[in-house]
Amino acid sequence: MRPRHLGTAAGVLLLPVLLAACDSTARQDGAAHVAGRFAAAVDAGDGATACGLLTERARESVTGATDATCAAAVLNVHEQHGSARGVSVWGDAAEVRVGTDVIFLLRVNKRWLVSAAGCTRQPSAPYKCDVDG
Amino acid sequence: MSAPRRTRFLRDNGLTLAFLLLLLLSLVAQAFTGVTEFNQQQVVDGAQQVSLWQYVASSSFGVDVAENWQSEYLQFALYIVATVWLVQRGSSESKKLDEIGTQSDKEQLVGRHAESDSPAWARAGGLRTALYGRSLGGVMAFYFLMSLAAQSVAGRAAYNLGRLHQHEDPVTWLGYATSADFWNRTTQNWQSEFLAVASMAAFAIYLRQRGSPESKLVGASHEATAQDA
Repeated sequence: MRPRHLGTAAGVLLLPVLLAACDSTARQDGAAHVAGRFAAAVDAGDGATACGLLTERARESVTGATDATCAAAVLNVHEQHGSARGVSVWGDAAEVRVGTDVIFLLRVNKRWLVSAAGCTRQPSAPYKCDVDG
Repeated sequence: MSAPRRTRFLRDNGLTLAFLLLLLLSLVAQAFTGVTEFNQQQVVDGAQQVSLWQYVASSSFGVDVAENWQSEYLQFALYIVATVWLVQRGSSESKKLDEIGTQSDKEQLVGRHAESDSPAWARAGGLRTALYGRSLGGVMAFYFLMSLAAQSVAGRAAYNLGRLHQHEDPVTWLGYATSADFWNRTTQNWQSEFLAVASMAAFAIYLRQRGSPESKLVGASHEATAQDA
């Protein structure tokens, strides 16, 4: 195989890897951005914005059996505004640490939405979360 | 390719082609049933359902394919190497009892004992002949290790997706490679492969399949190995 052809073949083989790497970074940034926005909205008392970033199940878990609106109830979640870190994305799910909280997200209709927030680690068990959708 | 040549090609390569076709059909069936099961779990987890193509490109499909491939290649790699040293009296899957080991160059037609139509590397001698003389088991072992590595990578991704859906921390590659999920998937495949090999070696002593090279001749003695029969 001539060097020019070798380069083309290597490019064709590496292209999907590079595209996947770019997509992975974009997904991490997207998840971190939404988690940061959610934490900031709760911290600022902006319940409507925070609720707009929740999955349907998460919204239902916030209001539960009460008459409270999502926008009011979501402000009971303990959130501390801070930079998102420790972003982990696997498939359509993500975990992001913001301040002292751990936030879980799901990708729904090409948008990241918060599925769980206000989470506390449990020994050998799933996190216990104030919002748990 | 003319019709007679095409027919001859199909006849001459029927065994390989038939099983490649079965592989393809099985993969398609696995994809259709797999996406149904995957989407049922997505609903339970409150996540979005995926298309067939998204599923085929997913780690869940990848790990299910790789875990079976690695066990098949392990089975053949072990069987190829084990049958150099281990024999089974009366089995068509075994060589004669007095042929244990790698045998002489003369028996194996290598080096100066090579024949006119022997492969070039069988005639070459030295490292090339040594490598070529172990290429079948070596390639099977290579594919086993590659499939096992692919299983660990795809399995970790699928496992971590499930953990995030359940609101649990994801694990590292080492954490997954030493996890119960990885080894349960692996050993449940291995045990079935070892059972199949043991069954074949033992059943071939007393049972026959007329016309199959995997069997002794129907009238051959239970004491006879394949070469004797």
